[in-house]
Amino acid sequence: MCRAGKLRRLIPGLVVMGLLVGACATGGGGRIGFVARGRPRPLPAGGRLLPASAGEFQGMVVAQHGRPVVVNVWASWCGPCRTEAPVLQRAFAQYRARVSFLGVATSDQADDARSFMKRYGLRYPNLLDETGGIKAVLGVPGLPTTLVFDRDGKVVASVLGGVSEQKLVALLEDALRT
Amino acid sequence: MIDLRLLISVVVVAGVAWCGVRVWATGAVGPSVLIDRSLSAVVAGVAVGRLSWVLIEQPALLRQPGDLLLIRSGVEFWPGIVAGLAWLAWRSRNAEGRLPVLAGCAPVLLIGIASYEATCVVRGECFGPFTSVGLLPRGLQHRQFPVGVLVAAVLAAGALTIPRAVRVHLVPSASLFLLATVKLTAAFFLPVLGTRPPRTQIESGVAALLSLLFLGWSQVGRRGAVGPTARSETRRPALPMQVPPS
Repeated sequence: MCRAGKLRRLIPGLVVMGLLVGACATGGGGRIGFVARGRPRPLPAGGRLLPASAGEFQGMVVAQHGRPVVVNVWASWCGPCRTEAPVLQRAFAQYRARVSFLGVATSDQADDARSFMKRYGLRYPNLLDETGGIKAVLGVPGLPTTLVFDRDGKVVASVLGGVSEQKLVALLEDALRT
Repeated sequence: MIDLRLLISVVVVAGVAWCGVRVWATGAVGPSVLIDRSLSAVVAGVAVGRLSWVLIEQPALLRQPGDLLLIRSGVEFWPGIVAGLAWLAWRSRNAEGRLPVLAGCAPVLLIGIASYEATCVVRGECFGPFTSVGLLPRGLQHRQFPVGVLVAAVLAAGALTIPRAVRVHLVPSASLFLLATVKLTAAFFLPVLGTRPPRTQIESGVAALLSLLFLGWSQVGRRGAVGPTARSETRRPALPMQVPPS
């Protein structure tokens, strides 16, 4: 085969491999086994963005004892966060009676985060992690990260990167069976 | 950070497809041609599938070109398949002919998808109904029946039997019918949000119906005609080499 023919075949192959490797650029993240501790605090009202510290965040999770809690750590500038936001909102609408949802906007500006919430119609409560303390205590390596706390406030699952609908539903149903 | 499990899945799919090309390449269309056509078809399929997902789910992402490259965020399956096959047919319109290329690529498509479904074991994402015997997906505490593994087995069996069982002109539509039916059925047992059938399931139903109609129409049109099966095509000599004038 002539050189031009080899090159013509090589280029699509490289493009395909590049796309596929790029698609693999996420993984597991978050501190499995982490247990939220502290004085119980109520969740903020749905649709609100409230600045909170790591201790206040843990208190909100503790207050949900007996219910699984889904915590999604995101930022308005994060691409995969934009694509997974509608999935999380639909899951919240379907499971809100049995599962608590809590978003954590980190490494972000309050105005940008509020615009993001408004754009995607996020009706579950969100916290603004101004100091990065929540992200640090959860051991979140990147954005977005979705963590599932069981009924006892322990992290049992975490997903780094955009969470798919199938995976999220599987995690929720599994948490509800425990 | 690279998801090594997904990367392993991708490598397995690429390897299986590469081997599959050598198994199903007929005498009329060699492996190099199938690989050449398949690679560009994959690019076309992924591009159209991704663009379709963005247009349907989040058109606002069109204003963020970087997000278009996040193919893991969502790719429409059937628009991608149709685009890939259309690209294959268009690329093969003059030289090798559409039918041998499509007949050669169809089982490779099945085996490629089968291998991706089977590697749900590696990714820890073999979801399905909760059951006492099954696999434990990553991050879950209860076992689930691995629907993906069953899908892989059925598609792999189809890839092996369809070229032997049907005439060459029926291989593409028979393969598509099998793929659509399997995806349609599997969707009933996979986790999904909401009560309405997911879009992919509806599309699979349409694809199954259309491919079945095409199969029936092809059979009616060729009733009584004697023709080779895809397997017997391997006994046909390859196209003569074109020697360039000196």
